[in-house]
Amino acid sequence: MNSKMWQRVKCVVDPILECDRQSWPLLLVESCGDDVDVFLQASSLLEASQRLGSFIERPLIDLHAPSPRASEILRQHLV
Amino acid sequence: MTNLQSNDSKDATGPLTEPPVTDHSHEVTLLLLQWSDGDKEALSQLMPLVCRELRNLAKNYLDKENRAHTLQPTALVNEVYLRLHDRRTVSWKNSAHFFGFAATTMRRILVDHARSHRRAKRGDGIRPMPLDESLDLIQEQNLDLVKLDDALNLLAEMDPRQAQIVELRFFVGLTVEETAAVLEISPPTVKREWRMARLWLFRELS
Repeated sequence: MNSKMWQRVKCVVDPILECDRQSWPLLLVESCGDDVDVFLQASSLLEASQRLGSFIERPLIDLHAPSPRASEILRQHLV
Repeated sequence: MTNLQSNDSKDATGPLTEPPVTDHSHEVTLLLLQWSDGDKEALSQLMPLVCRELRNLAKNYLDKENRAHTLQPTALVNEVYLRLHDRRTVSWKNSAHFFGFAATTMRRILVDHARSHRRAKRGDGIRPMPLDESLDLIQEQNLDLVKLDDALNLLAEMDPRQAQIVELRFFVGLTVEETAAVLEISPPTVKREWRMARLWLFRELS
């Protein structure tokens, strides 16, 4: 998918995600019009959104967790 | 020696003095050189240092009380950054530049580590390295970091800002508000873009 297409897909999917799920099919048809490519991409993403769960929500680095000083870490690894 | 500067026009109050050299600089430099020579064990020792230093550094940098002052990363991090960045002199143009580089560095280290671990699991004669807490999390989430990295590269071609948001949120752990501050966009925009990026990446990896 190129950048231009992705921007169009985002413009369709993002507002639909804010709406009640039952209204998604109608909104999808209305938003995509005759653009089959956008329709297919958008519907696939909407379907995926129902299985998204907490995918990559938890960061690899917890910036806000207390952490030992680097010097202590360094000592552990070098001594 | 290093030439790390925060030139953020909003935050910087003057030129940054060179950070003090710590007793650890030599060891870190040695580890980096060993890593660049192909010693994967050196990377396993370096990674937790970089992770924690980044965390401390970012925490300090985002601390409101410190926002008015120039960025003064430790000599340890200076050395890590410089060596990882082809030993080029780096001047931070702004917070986005700094965090962008930090996030990319984190990503590169973690993905390299994951690739190495994958090879070890395949039995390519490489001994598995001890896993850092970050990699424990990857396993916990059943996440293939190498595939995620590949997908993130594709996303960056379509939508560079979304890829940046993923790096900052997932690889460095910035909150929505912090990410918004770094990228100078609104938190609702970060939320929207983050959701779409996660969705696209999830579909790609499914």
